[in-house]
Amino acid sequence: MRTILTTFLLLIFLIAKTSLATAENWSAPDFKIEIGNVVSLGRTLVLTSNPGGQILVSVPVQHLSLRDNPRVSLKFAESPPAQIFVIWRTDASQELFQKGFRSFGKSKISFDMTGIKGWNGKASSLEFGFLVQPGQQIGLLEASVYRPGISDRINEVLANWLDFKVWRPVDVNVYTGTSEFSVGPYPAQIFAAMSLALVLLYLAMRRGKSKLQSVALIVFCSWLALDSFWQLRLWRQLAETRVQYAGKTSEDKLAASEDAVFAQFAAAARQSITRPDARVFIAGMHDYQTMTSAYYLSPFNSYWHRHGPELPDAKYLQSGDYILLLRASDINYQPALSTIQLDTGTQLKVQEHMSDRLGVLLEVL
Amino acid sequence: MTALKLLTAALISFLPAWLLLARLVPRETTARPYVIAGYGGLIGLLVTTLIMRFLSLVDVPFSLYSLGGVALLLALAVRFSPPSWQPDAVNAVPMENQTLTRLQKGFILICLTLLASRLLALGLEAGTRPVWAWDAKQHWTKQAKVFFELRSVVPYVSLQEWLELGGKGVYTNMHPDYPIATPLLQAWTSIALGYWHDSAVNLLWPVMWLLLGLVFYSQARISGAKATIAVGATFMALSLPYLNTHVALAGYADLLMATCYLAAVAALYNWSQSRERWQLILALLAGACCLLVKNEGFYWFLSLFPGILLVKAGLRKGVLCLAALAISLLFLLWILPADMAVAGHSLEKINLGYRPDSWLPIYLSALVHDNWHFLVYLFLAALLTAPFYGQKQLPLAAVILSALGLYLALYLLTNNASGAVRFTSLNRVFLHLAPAMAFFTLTVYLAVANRRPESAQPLGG
Repeated sequence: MRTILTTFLLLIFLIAKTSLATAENWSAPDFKIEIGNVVSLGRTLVLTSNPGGQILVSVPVQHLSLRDNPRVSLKFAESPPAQIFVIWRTDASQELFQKGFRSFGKSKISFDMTGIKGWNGKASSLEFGFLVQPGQQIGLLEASVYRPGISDRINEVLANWLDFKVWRPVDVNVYTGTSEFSVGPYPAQIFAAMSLALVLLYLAMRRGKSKLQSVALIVFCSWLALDSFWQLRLWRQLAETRVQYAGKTSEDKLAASEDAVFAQFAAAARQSITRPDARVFIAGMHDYQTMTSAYYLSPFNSYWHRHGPELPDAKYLQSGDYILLLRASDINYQPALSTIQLDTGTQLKVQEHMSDRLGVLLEVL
Repeated sequence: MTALKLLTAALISFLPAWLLLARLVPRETTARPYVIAGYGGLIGLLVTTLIMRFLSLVDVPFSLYSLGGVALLLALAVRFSPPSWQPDAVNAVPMENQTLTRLQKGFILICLTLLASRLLALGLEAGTRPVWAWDAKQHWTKQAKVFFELRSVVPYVSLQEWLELGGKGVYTNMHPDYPIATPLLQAWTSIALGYWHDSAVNLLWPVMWLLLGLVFYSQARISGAKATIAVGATFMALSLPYLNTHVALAGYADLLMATCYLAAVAALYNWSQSRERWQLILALLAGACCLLVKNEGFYWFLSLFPGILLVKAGLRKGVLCLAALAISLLFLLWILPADMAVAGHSLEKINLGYRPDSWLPIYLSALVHDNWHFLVYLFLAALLTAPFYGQKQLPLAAVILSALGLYLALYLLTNNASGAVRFTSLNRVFLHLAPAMAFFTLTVYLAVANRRPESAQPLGG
């Protein structure tokens, strides 16, 4: 028992020892403005961009070891610039290195520079570039280049797990538990390992007196801890969903949704189609546009061939058929001549019933 | 008024099945109300779709009255059916008279609170958001709109057939051979409301989630789990992130399939333990429901039979029979015409061949990503442990392994591998099996906890 505990503590000590953070920090007075204008200088450096929307600040570096300090962190007072660039030179060469990142609206951002070309050796210059709207103001609080310690790493991992994005189409296929698909560590693995470690520790401590129920409780508590991230994500999403849709009628919800343009386009087309038994061909080259248009056109009897030709052979198109032709399409529509040209080269006479920025509704004559 | 209409629709769907199960499930059964509510709800939903097909066949349009009338007739038929229909209660598991400690009550309360919180989050999300997911819009809900508008089932044919027929009396989409239970249920929701509502049609998915929980809990209790263990395990099954996603982003048929398959597998397990006929009936009914939901349901239904065979024929004979069947299957694959379709798939279409690229996405989805929390780790541990705790787990293990074998074959040997490599259908199909895998894991835990000396008992007969 004693040996297990000693080994465990020694392991923790070694991890902590090798993970002590080092850092180079800069606050507002340390920044030198290269591009852009200073609005005010206090604890926060407030800057405006040039007409090109650029801001560039440099910081003093003296043989800063880049490989030993693979993280760059920036902190902003309010809304951050959309794009941030880290620009540097090293002692070894005069080559100027640059790497761009997106801020995703976060006021405190850190970038992992591990493996990025040129981020090794000693830095001879270091600058931060920001791309914003022309004349836009940003408030820069501090910057740092550092080697992450244990707490930094834990914070990074937690930030990765807790980062929230509203539902994306891919979410119905996969849930990684992380902000980015291929950036780990992944929570399921960590919690599975943690459960196993705790169960083994419990079994080692209790030896012959262990109870299966206690093992089950450990597993359950680990599950609960892991699940709390997911539950939190669901509640945050629900808050967003309610802001977007709560209290609205079915039609208003469609108008508030990401599909609003397609729903409106299809609604206008539905009104222009006079016969309820009309056949409607959906033509366009973008899957999402055609699929969504076909959905909102339902319950009309529609034809949509995903991954196939946009329209069938001319012999299948009859007078009185409708074609919902999206702008993004390979079908050549000539409004002046009231014709469309199919893939096969055949020309068909059509009449335009409705036009929208998404597409047109045509009737085959 | 909306809530009242939806409740009426639910009652029409559930009542005949509840009455039927009240007759089928012996009174002494543990967790009987939960069995009736869960299985009754599930079977009721699927029977509703059969009623809708029947009404279309006899040219009666869908309405609360037409469906309600048939449901009433069914309910009366069940109510006044001969008493001989009632099961023999001799083998029924006696109801446990458990007293819970304060700690256990506290634990159950925490789990129920967490479940209520989850239901609230998922129910509000699904009920507030309009139809959103890709396949729902491409396929299921689009079809539901047609059924709702026409108040009838209409035939769906392939694109080419639709062109040949000039679209007269037929509709088309990219998957005309898919079963229509899911769109029919969405249409049923709107028929109950009297108008199409893009969010209300999603409300079926929180109901499916609830039914899955009831099925899981009731069968867990019957298999011997104490209330604390059963409710804890039910929470774990109901909190699987990917399963939750399919409630929140409602519209896919996979959750319904998962519920049906769990219902079949769990009933089969408890039948294998107690040999109560009603459990086998439930297993086969729920298994048959899989056929109504998706084409894959045919294969999941087939996966039940290795388990039934092992129970009926005993271990030695059963394994021999399974080996013979496996060889016959290989032979059948060899001689079967390539263009002959089975459950929507032909050998020609699936293009058999080894696709090793699928291994990585399968590994990532099951063991790395958080789709299933760490369920698959627990399942693997259970699978390794099961052989050491008697033979009673073997029929269920055979069922689950057959299903998993089919799952792996789907992604490693057929052109569905693209769904794995692109992470599209991989988790959706796994969802069909995940709750059943969770149930298997629970049964192994119970076997270990009870440490029954089962190895001496014969399996067959």
